[in-house]
Amino acid sequence: MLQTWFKIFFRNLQKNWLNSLVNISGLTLGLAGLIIVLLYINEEKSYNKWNPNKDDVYRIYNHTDRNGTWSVGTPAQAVVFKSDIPEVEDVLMVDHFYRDFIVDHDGNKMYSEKIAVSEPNFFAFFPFKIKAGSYSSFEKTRNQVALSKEFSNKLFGNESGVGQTVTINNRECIVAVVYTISGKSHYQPEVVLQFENPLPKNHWGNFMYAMFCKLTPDTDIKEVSKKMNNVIIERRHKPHAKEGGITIEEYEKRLGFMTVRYAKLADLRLQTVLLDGGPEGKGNKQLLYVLLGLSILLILISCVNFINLSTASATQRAKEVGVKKTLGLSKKQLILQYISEIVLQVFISFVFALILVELILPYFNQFVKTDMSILNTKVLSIVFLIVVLVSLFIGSIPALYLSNFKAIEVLKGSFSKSKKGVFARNVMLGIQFLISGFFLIGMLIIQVQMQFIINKDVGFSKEQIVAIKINRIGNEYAKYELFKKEIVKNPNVMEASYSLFVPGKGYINGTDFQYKEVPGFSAAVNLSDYNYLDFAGIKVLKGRSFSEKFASDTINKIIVNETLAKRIGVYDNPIGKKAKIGWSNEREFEIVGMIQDYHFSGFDVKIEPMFLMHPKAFSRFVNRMLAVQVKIKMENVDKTMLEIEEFWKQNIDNDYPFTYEFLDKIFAETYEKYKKQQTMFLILSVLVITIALLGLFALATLTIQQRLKEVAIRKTLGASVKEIMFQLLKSFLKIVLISSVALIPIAYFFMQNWLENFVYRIDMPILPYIITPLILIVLVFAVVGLKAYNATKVDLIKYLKFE
Amino acid sequence: MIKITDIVKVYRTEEVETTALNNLSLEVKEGEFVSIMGASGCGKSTLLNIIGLLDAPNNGSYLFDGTEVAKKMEKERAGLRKANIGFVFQNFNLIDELTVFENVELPLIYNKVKSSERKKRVNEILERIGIAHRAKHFPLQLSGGQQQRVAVARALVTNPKLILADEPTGNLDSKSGNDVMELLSELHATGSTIVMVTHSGYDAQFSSRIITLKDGEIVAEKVNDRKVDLLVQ
Repeated sequence: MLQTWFKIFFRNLQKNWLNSLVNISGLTLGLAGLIIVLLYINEEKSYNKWNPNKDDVYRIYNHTDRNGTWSVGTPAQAVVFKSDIPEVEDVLMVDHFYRDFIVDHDGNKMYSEKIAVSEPNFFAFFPFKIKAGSYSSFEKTRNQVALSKEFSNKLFGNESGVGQTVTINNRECIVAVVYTISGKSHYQPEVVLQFENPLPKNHWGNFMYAMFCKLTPDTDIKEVSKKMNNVIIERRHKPHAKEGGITIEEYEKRLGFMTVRYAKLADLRLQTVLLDGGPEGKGNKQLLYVLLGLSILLILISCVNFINLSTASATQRAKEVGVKKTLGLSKKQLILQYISEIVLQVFISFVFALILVELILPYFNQFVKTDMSILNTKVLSIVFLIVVLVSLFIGSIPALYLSNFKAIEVLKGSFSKSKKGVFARNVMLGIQFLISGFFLIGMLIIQVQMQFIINKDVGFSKEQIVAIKINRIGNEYAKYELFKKEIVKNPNVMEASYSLFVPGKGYINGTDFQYKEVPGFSAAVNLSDYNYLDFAGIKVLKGRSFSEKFASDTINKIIVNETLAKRIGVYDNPIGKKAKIGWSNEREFEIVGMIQDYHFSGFDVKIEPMFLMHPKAFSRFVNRMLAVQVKIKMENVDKTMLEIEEFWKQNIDNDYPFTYEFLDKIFAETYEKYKKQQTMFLILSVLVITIALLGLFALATLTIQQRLKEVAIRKTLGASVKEIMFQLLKSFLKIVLISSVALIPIAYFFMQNWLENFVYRIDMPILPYIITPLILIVLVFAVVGLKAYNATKVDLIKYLKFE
Repeated sequence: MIKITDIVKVYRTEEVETTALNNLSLEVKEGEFVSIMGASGCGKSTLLNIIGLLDAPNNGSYLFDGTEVAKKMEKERAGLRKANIGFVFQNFNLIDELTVFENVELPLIYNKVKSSERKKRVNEILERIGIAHRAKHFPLQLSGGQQQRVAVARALVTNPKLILADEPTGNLDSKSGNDVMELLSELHATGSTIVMVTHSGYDAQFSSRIITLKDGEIVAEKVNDRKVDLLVQ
């Protein structure tokens, strides 16, 4: 019996090769997508899994309505949270990002870009595996340092480095611990350095450090966060209000309270509270959702194709069913047979999907910067389970449908199509049109939005400008001034300048800005040299730029951007206005100019209120330089850069590697990111639509085949080609129209949501909503029309006679 | 009305070549009721298809109502067909998804008859055939005899010059078959031209002339005295 079944199965597969192709290819793609998404989710979820504290440690963020959410906290919070809230066992303050320094051991200099600078209790939160030394000795004094095994090997060879002295950033440190990291972690440092001095305990304005709280096991974080909010009011806002001589209610009205946000260490990788996830980056949650949605839709469409095609082709197999029933096969056996057929096809798809994933995975790894492998038993068993469920589901419907045929009717030839089945099939076809239409609209709108972003004016000239990284070498500003003076002697160098913010790299320093009665808010503090605005081609709209002619420019003058001027309501006349700057309101600055807004963070990031100071006006920060900027001629770029490097090594810094970036490349990377996402969405949409169209084609082929007799009758009665085609297309067109109507609000809702992710976005375009139904109609005409036209050429005699 | 001279129809498959009609000539005058008989595979259905303009001969001449149609393209044949010929098939060939009324209406739609006129004519013909009370039913709700009446009604509704019937009683019990034959006789009596293919000698007795085919050639022709032996049933 099994042999007969296989024979019938394979012959049917051969006969209906189009159906099988549509079924198997659609499901293969859907399953492949699902495997990749699950691998990716698994990869992102594997972060911090090794950490025994993963469910008890929370990263705490601060939120105010005025300034949004900050990833960092202040040391004063750390102190009061620990002392006032019993559930908070311990608090860790650590730098949000890695630092990079030279680590020097007896002249053996190793450069590390992954140095975590922390309070001594770092390893209580991130207990990496100890290879040598001990954590207790690390915590003893602040000049103890910890090294990863790899880095220790680089520095000391195979000897244990414990007890050795290294110099980092002019500090003498003793290696206390050598560790290895057992899995993916929020911090994966090569070196753990301690803050040189204890952090100032009472400073409420110093938002500079990532803050982690370890709670007693099984504590409700919601309750704790409420307590934290109360502690902030009691310990910060109330004394602050008293100091200012206002009631707490008035204080809240004017300044608002600060509240905490949190994310568990276990979930940190995929949390979306902030733009930047941490030193090791964050998972691309949006991409994940898009991919998950797409693969589910692909599987759904494939299921619909499967069910539609097998029920529609059921009439062709009616005779087989009739004969089998007559010969005594029970209904149960029949159902089992037909389910098995479909299960077999689904499993073939599963195998193909595995092959496909193996082929695609290297590219996807490159795209999301991971190194996933398909050999993940957890993911594969989940997908396998899904495969089993899917095959049982889509198998049982056609199987029940088929096995319910009445043997006698079928054999006598008076078997007729069930109206109910046709309706269900139409509904499913409608869903497919809906999904395809959604992707068409999505594709069109995404295209328009991407063009809009990519063509947006960034507000400054980025061509020919190189940003050269300046490391912590001491006396940075003086060295920069020397560089600026000397480097222009190179005929290929046009000019050098400096601003703290490297355009495209963003906002790295902010402070409180108070102007008259306007509630204080956080503004970006950018430092810039006299010639910077001219150098970068940033337009001065009102007033002037900084100038050596005015000595006070290095003391108490600022230039604001448009956004800031608007925020304090002086856009029309900003010059001469005086503002208090800094968390302690200690100094008053005068506005001497207003510049046009430019994108100092990425072009996809909202422009924040920002003001410029001369570096010397902010002495604490004058040497905190990130990069100097040089404008060079476009000829002989390589040679020019070599000459600059030579000068740099001789006169500025010979220890750290010479690294530089072209500004237009920094921006190009962001463009590239968008382009890649756009391309990926395009490819997937084309896939989804193709699978849906293949399904439509196969279904049209079948339904038209079933209507050939009708066509022949109509033709005999004198119907023209046009009339017959209309008759055949009518039902499909009706479904397209109904789906299009349903499509508009659904697509509008989702695309509106998507657009809201962008700070700079287009208004919802209307055209895609008009074009898409038209495209669908054209596609139906093309796909079904072709089949219908062929049908009008039907051999009349054959169908009238032998039907 | 129909003048066929020396027509040849050959069917070719990959392996076999079958001559269905071999230099056959036939004339049917207006108002005649001709039966075509013969064993299976003698070419009678092929002849009917050619007469009905559903198929074209390989060779020979076919004058339909004075016009040469043997070499006409399918589109022109379709035009002539819908204006002039009504068909009745052995298996009725009604469209299952349409009601009796709609089935009968169909040729009128294709002949671009106005809606009000269509309604009048369909109702008239359903009345005349005696099936008016079933107008809203679907074909599958009717008995075979009733279905064939609907098919006849559909063939007649355009007032065709020629009615072609391909074994109209083949799928019916004898009572229903007899009813259908009487219906055709009545039509003949009122002046319709009918060509019918049949296996049944009994049915053939209703016609005015019986032609017998064998291997694509006419082997016998008999003018009927139109005496139907009712006792045969």
